[in-house]
Amino acid sequence: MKPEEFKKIFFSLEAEVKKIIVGHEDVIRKVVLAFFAGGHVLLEGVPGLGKTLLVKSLSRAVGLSFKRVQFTPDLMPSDIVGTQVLTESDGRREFQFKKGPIFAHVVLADEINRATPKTQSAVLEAMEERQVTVFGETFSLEAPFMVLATQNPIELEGTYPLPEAQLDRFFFKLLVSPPAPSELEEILRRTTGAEEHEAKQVLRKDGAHVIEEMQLLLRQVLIAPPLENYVVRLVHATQPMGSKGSPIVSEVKDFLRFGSSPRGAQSMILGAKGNALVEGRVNVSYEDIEAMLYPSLRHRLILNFQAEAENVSADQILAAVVKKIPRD
Amino acid sequence: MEVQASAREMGPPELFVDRLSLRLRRQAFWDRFLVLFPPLSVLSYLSFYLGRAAWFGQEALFFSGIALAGIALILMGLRFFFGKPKASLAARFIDEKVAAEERFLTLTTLSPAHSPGPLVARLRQEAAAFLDRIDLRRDFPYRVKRSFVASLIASLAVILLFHLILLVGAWFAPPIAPTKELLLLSEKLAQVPHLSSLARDIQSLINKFENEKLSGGEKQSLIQELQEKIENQLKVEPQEDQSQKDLLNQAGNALKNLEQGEKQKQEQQEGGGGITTNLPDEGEGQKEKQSKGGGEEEPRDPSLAQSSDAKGGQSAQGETKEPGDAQREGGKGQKTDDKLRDEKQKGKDSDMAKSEHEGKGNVNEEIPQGPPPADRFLKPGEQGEGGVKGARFVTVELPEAEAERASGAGGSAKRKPVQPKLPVSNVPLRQPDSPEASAEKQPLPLEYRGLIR
Repeated sequence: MKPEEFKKIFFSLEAEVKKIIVGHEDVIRKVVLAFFAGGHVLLEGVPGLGKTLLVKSLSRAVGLSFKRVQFTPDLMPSDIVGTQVLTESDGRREFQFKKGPIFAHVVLADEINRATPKTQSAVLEAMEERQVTVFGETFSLEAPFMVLATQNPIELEGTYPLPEAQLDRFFFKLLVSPPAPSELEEILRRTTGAEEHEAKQVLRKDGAHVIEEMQLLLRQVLIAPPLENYVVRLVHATQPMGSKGSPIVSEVKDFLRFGSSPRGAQSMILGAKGNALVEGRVNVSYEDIEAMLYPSLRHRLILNFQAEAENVSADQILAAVVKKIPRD
Repeated sequence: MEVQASAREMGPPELFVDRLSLRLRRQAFWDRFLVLFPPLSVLSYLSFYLGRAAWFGQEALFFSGIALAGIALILMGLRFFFGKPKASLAARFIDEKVAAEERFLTLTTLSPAHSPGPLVARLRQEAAAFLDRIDLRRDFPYRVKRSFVASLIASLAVILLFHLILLVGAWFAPPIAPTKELLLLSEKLAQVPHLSSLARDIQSLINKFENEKLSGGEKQSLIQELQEKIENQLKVEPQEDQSQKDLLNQAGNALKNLEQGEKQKQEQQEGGGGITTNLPDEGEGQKEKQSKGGGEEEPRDPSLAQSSDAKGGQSAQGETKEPGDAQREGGKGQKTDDKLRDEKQKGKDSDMAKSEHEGKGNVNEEIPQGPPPADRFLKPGEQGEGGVKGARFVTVELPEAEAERASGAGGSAKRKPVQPKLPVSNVPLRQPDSPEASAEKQPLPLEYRGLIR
């Protein structure tokens, strides 16, 4: 596949999603980027901002199978990955595996923090290994596979915050903000009128294969060693204990318990490569890397008590890091 | 097509980056050279200056010059070969200049063997499209860095400071005695074959001045005779030999200084004061001596006379040092100028401190140690003058103006009724019932001041 084709398909997908979702251009772009980079996305925002609609629109535009799971406290792992059920055929009874909703190309885990950690962890293996194991039997998930989870930041009662290990498995964490007045007007116009808006399918035949090709091309995008080094320095700078060769940023030292894992660096580079392709380049630039810094690292930084007491966010710490780490 | 044509003319982007890298290396070399040049020039100038002033030998100067040049060359060479700007830096400069979004950087630093060929080819093509926007001379001109300006200013400041120090040092340095200056000049003259006789004449003059007791007139005539010789030599010297003329002129000036010094000494002897003492002089027994040494040594400096007086006073009160030692040593007379100057300096320092101390009437005066004062006075029936056993007295004869002021005579004394009188002698006053007794009150001996307090 050529970079021009990638760009064309990408913008078509984006345009179809934008038909349904008003505003949130940045969120839409990064969700599509994460999809082509083969990552999962955690969307955080208050209810009613169109998170679920966004995911549904995307899955419809790419023409792939889509499943939605509403996470609740009584949701069991088997409700997600599937279970063995006793079936009878030709007078013979046997156990047959009934696939759960995880067996889809795009899975929406709505309000993921409402489910118990046991259920949440059932998604872990699927997200990372792209396979599930039920009663000792392993089932591979069909590519492309993407989990889009949403969570509500304001409700804490009866919720189970995602453990760090699970958070680390998300490629991006995107913050969905309330719409601007002009965007709200457009939302009202679209949703309260008689006209119905629906995303069209962009990839018709052999869509999964096309997406795989696009994912391969994204990984081939060129990145100069000094830029890789820049990513390494940025990620190292988030370590509160400091590490050899990286300067200690005072904000990191004061407000972080743990810094980013290597997955953060991987996300940054893959996201930057996707961004370069979207921008019509075959090489990564410093701007691409910096654009991917916040969605890639914000959920990988573990804040300490002082940060929470002083209401310091991960984004503020990352802003200090990118300010203090020179490009070369 | 146009882009491809221009890219072909300029070569591949990697080559262009290499060209810029070389250009930056040259610029870095000039930067280094310009930073090092002013301090090296200053060092050369200082070496030359000090060498010319005979602070360094010619060989030391030569070798230090070679060492300096060598160090400078090594530094610049190291900078050129090892501290050269990397190709990635040049690529970054190009990227920034034409907003190429790290295309040149990627192309320069990426290993093509491990990268997908079609993408690398595409990147090269994209980078080549930017080449016609760049002109190395226009976009990367050589500019003199601030470091050069700073180096230049610092170097000039060093030279100025050096000369300032020399100037200030010359002001504060003790003047060279004319005889010593003449001796140095005679050594220089002796190195010139046809001036060696003149050098011998100068040395003999100095020997005569130091070793023989000559009258003022004789000294003047000797000096004038030598001055005439120098003038004659100056007339016959060839015009182009400026250095020898300079030497002769310096010798002439030194002789003039010597002559002036001698004249001043004579004037002081005629109109100046002296010290009268009852000390035995070199075994001649007690007699009053008009010490010529005081007048000869420092006729313009009354503090020396005062210091001698103070020393004498202290000794009379039981100090271990004999009174009038300095005068006697001075009386021996014939000493080198340096020795005299040293003594003068030491005497000046200590005496100034003392006179200051006493002049302020400090209550913390040191009480002299020694036998009780009662034992030191003559008892009835004992023979002796002045009332104090073994006392040695010094009477200072001040110059006329000072003497008038000390005695309170003259118009000015009338207008100022209360005038502190300078001590002119430490001779004890006569008994009040004696007809020779002075109306003045005898000053209280230092020993009693402690008891009264």
